[in-house]
Amino acid sequence: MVIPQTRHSLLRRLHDRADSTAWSEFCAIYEPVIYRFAKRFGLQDADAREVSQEVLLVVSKKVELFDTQAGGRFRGWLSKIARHASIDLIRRRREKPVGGSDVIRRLSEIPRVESDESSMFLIEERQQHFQWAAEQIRQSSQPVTWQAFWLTAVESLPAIEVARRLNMTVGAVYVARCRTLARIKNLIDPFIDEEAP
Amino acid sequence: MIARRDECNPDLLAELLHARLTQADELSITTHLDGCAACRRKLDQLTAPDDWWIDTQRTLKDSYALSHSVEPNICPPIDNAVAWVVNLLKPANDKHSIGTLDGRAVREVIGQGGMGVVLKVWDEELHRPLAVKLLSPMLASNGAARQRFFREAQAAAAVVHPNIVPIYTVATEGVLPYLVMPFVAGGNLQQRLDREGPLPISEILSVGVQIAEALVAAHRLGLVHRDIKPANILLDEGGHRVLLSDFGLARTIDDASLTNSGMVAGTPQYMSPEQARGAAIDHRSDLYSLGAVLYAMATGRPPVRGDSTLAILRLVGEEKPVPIYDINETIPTWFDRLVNCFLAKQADERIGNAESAAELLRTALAHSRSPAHNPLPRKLHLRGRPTGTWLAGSFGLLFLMVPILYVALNAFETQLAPSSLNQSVQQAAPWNNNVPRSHIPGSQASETSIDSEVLNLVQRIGLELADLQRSIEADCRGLAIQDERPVTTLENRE
Repeated sequence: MVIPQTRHSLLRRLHDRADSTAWSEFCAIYEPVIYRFAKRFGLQDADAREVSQEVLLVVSKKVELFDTQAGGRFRGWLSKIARHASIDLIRRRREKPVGGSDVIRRLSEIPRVESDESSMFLIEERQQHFQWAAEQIRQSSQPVTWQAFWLTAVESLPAIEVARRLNMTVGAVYVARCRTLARIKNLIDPFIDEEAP
Repeated sequence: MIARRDECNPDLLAELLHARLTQADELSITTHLDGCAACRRKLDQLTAPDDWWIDTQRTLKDSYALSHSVEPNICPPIDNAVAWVVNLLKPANDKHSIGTLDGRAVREVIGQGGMGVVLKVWDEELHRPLAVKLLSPMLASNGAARQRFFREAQAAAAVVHPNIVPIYTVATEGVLPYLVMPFVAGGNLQQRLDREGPLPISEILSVGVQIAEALVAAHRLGLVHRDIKPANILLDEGGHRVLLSDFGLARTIDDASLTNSGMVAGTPQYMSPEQARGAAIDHRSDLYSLGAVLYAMATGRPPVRGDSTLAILRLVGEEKPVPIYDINETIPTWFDRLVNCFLAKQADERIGNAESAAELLRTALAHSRSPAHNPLPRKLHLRGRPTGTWLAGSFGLLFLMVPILYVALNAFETQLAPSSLNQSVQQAAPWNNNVPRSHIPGSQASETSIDSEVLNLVQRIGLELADLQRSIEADCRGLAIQDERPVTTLENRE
């Protein structure tokens, strides 16, 4: 499994165009974030995909301009690009209407959404961090360990029930569940530290 | 450190979490956890603050894929094609079908793309298989996607050409719209490349000619395909005829959405730089993609490769592809120059139109089959190479050198024992197997044999040189008129 660099160095690695691992890591996390962000703007699936592609394209062109030393502003920068791309697309749709009144209605909703935009982005980002990290850990986990974690932490089953199902002791279920989350947290932490004010 | 089962030991919990205990200690603490709720709670807290446990549940609970501890799944698809299709079909009567769609027996799901899935169905009336392209339900509710889907039908239906997959019917009545097309048995070019790797040069050029001709027909109607790639090139059963399919992204050049959309649609690896940028495109974008397909046929992989859509999009605009002969040395070097006529980053540096492309490919195909009779198009000569006249001259010089060599060899012969000369000739011409064994060393006959031997060799070289010179002279004639009629003249002349 690839041990991800901190966000800080990931950003720095994005400056190096030849570093395709950094780019694929970045896209793996942020493409879905932007996609769902755009969906929350009321965009349809195909449009939201367009927006996420466009945003990543902009990032690829402009990442040099973003100062990795500044810290903390990356999310704001990204969400601003995502928002512009979404509004831009809705505007284009309006010029060449396909959705009619539906799109106009969504357009009128934008100012209201705008105020929540940052927290909206944060929620999606958090979601994607977990999904991404969980997937990494799942791939390198023993099936029993993963199930012990999943059933207790995500499905909230009592440890004793899980122990019975998986033919483990309660103590072992706890060790599995905690070690798994610790590993997930380990992957996510660098992203969080970076954003801390 | 020895852990005791009946004792709470917070320090050891941290060690346990990071798997830094001996096996014995780990077992003993784990056993302690069985009965100690306080330590279990403590372990949870040591792992992460409460909000992490809450977020874990909140962010992961809807993820069905993660709930399974299965094989690694690097890129989970957003929707599962086969599942929804099967649910949509009516039950079938026969065992060979997975269901029926509007009375047609569906045999299998043969493909899946961005727009939906392709099914193989059985046409009961005409007893033939058909391909049905079904728009995905997610897109069927999207006005733009639906439009795009029907545009495919209109676009493909408008171009009638032996190298373009025709559309038989468009069904708009049902829940999901679909198109009916002939079933093309040989699969697609991508599958073939995956299975067999690079193709031989004549086959590459033959596919290239056919696709270029399909593009001539499409471009003539002002239609840009926008998604030329191996997966959209279908192969007939024998593999000789190819058919261009999937006009799903096709747009007419005067389509307003083209100039103001700036959207990225298509397959990045085969996309032209201008298309990857989201800039306005025209027919030359298809020619770039055709070049990328030619490259893929010769190397087994697209000219640009990256790990993600984005990486590819960037590389399309920046990276120069690895020369083909570096990857596949069975491909002649001129083929790389041919592909580069298509892969120029700037559209106006590319080969101008599909007609010229078809012409160039046809001439190159003829050349690859019979080099002596079909000179290589001048466009494909090494850039900065001496002019044809000079070349012909230098070959003339070589021609002169052959008799000189012969004379020299003769002189050489008088100084050496016949036996050693015979040996050296045999070494020098190992392909010449018709030397009778009786003529070997010492015998009186050996001298004549060496003479005829060398003469043979000289004649052979002479004939080959004459062949070469003829072909070069032919090239030069092409050169003389190339100013008025570039490229295309070559074939016409023949």
